[in-house]
Amino acid sequence: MIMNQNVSIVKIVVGILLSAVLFVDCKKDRIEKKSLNDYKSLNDYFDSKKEKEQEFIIDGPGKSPIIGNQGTKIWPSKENLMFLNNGDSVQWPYTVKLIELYTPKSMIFYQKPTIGGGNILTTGGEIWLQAYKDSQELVLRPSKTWLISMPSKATLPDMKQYYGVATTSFTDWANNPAGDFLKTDTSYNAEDQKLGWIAPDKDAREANSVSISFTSTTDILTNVAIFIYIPSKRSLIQVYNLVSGKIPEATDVKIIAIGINSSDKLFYYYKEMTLGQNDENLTISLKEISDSDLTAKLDAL
Amino acid sequence: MYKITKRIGGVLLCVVSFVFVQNVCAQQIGVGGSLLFNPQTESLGAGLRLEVPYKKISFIPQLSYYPSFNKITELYLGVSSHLDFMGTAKWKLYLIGMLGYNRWINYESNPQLNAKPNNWDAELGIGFTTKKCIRPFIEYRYNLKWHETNLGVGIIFTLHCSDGRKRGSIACPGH
Repeated sequence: MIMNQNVSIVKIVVGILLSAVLFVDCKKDRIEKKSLNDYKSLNDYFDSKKEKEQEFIIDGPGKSPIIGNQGTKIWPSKENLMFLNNGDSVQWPYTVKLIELYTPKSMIFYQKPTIGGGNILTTGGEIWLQAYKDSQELVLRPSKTWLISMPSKATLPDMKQYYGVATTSFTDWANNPAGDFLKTDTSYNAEDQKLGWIAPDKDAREANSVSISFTSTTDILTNVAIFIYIPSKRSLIQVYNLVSGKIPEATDVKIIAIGINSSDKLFYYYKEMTLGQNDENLTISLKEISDSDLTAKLDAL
Repeated sequence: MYKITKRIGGVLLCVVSFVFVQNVCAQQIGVGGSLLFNPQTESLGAGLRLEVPYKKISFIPQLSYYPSFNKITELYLGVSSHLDFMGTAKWKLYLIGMLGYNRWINYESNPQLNAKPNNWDAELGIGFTTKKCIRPFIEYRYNLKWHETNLGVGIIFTLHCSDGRKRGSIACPGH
């Protein structure tokens, strides 16, 4: 009798404990909506990763060409320069500043996609070239040029001079003033007609094109930077307002989205895909990544 | 998912059919209904069941529905087994194990989950009931798929048992 009572008590205790354990494990996932991951502006992070501006002091003849860290060659000419504000001639010494962007990674950090008038461009790299006398900006005289040479491991034909014009939110590239880049096996060469951003580019749009739109159920994408790289076109798109520009259909693309939260932790989304004949809708979810791993991903684009 | 659910359903149907046939003669089959509450989804539902006892185990084909006034609208269809656990001549506690199918009708209500409308269902639990012909019962179940609990209160009517005697005491005519 006592034995039976003990067994019953044990059963009851086991039952209560089992129920308690199961109840503790209960989740309200199906009705609770988790707060979305939010991100701050990437500008500070991108600024910290940007290609550094190079500075050259031109203090006399015999300084040509000046050569950038990545092989850009510039033949500056004092006689072809003038002051922006009054057109006066320039005397030595003066300063030439240069930024070189030859990889998708460096263009992403500078947020300098290869888009002209809303259309994708094939690029051979982007440089920023500027001249100063003390702190005053200098410009090229009308009809005067500087010879430049931009290195390339695999040059393409028919590249033209595209100059970058800053708009409120991005740099728009245009073949204005019109001009060509002449290719050699290892470089694009041109008579630069305007200081500032210049690139050997060509129109890469095609009649049959699609766009990619982005959404997320886990992340607020407002401050997430989304880029699409098209290897076959050597073209980089930055996505604004969550919808990309037109991309030729049946094209392989690499998509990377980057965010940084208030704790300065980096997040990313990466996808390689082949576009079809219809517009794509991508639902993305960002994952945390280290700075070095993110840099490696961008290097691999 | 459909194939697995169909296969499980087929096996369960065979077992229940066998037990059902064994018990028709004994006239111990019960039918009943219940009110359900899921505290995690804050949902109220209703259930229908058929209870087919076989020795210390009962097989209970059942249907539960949580209507659209809840945050989660869904339907469960499955078969549970009740194993008599402990009790006296008047009442008993039983353990519950259930396999079934879950149709989450408004599965798109929380897009963060990437949920699907058709789901498997498995539950463990414990219940209490009396041993009379009309038997109230109360159950506590834990859903292994959703990690939620279901509390149920209901009543079972044992067929051909109108004299108030305890269930199981009716002999099959001809036996």
